[in-house]
Amino acid sequence: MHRLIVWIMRGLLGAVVVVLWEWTSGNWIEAWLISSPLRIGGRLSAVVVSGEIWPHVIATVSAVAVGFPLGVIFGIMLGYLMGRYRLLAELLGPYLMGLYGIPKVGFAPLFIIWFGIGISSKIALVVLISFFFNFFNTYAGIRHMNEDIIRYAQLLGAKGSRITLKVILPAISPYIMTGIRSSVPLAVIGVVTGEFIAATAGLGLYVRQAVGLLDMTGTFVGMIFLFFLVAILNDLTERLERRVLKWMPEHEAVAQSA
Amino acid sequence: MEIRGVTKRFRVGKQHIEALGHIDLRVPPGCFLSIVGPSGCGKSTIIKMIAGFVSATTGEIYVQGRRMQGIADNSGIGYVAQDNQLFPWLTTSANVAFPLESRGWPLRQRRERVAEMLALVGLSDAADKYIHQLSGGMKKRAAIAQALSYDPAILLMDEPFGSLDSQTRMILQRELQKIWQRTGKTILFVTHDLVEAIALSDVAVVLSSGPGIIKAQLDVTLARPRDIFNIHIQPGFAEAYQTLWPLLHDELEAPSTARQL
Repeated sequence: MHRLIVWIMRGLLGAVVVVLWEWTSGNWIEAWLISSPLRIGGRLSAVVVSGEIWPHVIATVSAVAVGFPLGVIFGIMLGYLMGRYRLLAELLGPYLMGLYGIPKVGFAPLFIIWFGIGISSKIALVVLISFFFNFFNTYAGIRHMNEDIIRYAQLLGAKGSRITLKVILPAISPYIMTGIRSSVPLAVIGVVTGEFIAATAGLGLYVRQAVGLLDMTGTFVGMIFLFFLVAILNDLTERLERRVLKWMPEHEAVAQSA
Repeated sequence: MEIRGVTKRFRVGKQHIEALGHIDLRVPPGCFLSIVGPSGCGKSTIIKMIAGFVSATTGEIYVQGRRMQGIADNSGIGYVAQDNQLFPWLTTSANVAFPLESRGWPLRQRRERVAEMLALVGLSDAADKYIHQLSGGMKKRAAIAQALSYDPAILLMDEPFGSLDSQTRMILQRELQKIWQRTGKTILFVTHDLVEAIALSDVAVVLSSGPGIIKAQLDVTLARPRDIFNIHIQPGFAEAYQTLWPLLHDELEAPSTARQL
């Protein structure tokens, strides 16, 4: 009952904002500055029907779909190795800390020069951004892990990769999931920034072109697609997290209330 | 199992601390031997050395005639720790199956053994629960099932019931006695509780406070099976207690001296 009321009120709140926007547009504020919900809706269906938007959606989604998993995997691998091998941590640690301090979107122009204005430069940027978050979280997880758990596993007969895959990775999975979850929006920011600067296709390019023409309706349409992209990615990572961490007390509570 | 001339020194900063003096101890097959001593006497260190978690400074440890060096040699050893040894990301049954998987048991035999072990410790209904869903006593039962699943000859128990409330502790002591009688394992049991040591053991060993050396070794001759809940009034209990308590009491009073070198 409570949930139903919340849902209804939430819907009403959204509707009020949309109606106010529609009414303000052209009355209080000039329509070309803020567009209006009806125009945006009309343009949205137009670009979907004409198919004009899809190459942009596909370009952005592909850059994330290829770059993000790679960044996550590289990050986990290096975080694991540095957590397990102290010498490696001592050698690489200061360099990685230094690189981490640089805002990663600063690499966007550089990557465009190196890898061209196509999708490769966007993928490279996503890999770099998601790598760092996942690397640091995995590394922190291993440093905070209770070493006794490895000794127990050895005593119970586990060796080599079994200890890595069945003991260490599950033990630090809460850290790994934090890295994945917090790097999703950043990865999308990375792609869009790259597309803003120079691209052949992508939602970032679409938005930049619309802004360039002072076409606010088109700008909002591009932002709506970006919103849904991030929302879908967040939902996927949340599902993954609930699956991976289903053994943790808090997640059980979430699963039961949902 | 035999411990010969084992000593242990730790380095804490620049100081060397002698944790264990010179320990010689033989535990015959099938024997339930308890080591009792004040906290900090190094009794847990003995168990950790046998398990291979820490190395002895000098001396040798033999299990079933084989000299133990490191954790890898220890397929003949089961270990029940004070706390937190179960893998929280696995269910109870998966925890018990873990050592069997490590040994490459086929699935069917694994399932059979896990069911058998869970029945032994009374956890059949909790097979699919995650560790955080178990009570303190159930976690101990699960840890015992895990440690016994691969049928080690020796079970090391490091203050296993220390964190439990007194009723649960007595119930588990009774269960452990039953399990021991049914399986015939050699058990080395470390505790700071003299009553527990007498109630469970064939042999009780009193360790002095740091550096730990064996102060007394007593055969506990109480008849078996023992009534854990009324152990105080069982014939022989009072004598054993009165023999050992003054020795332990001296150690509690002694100034806490892990001897600094």
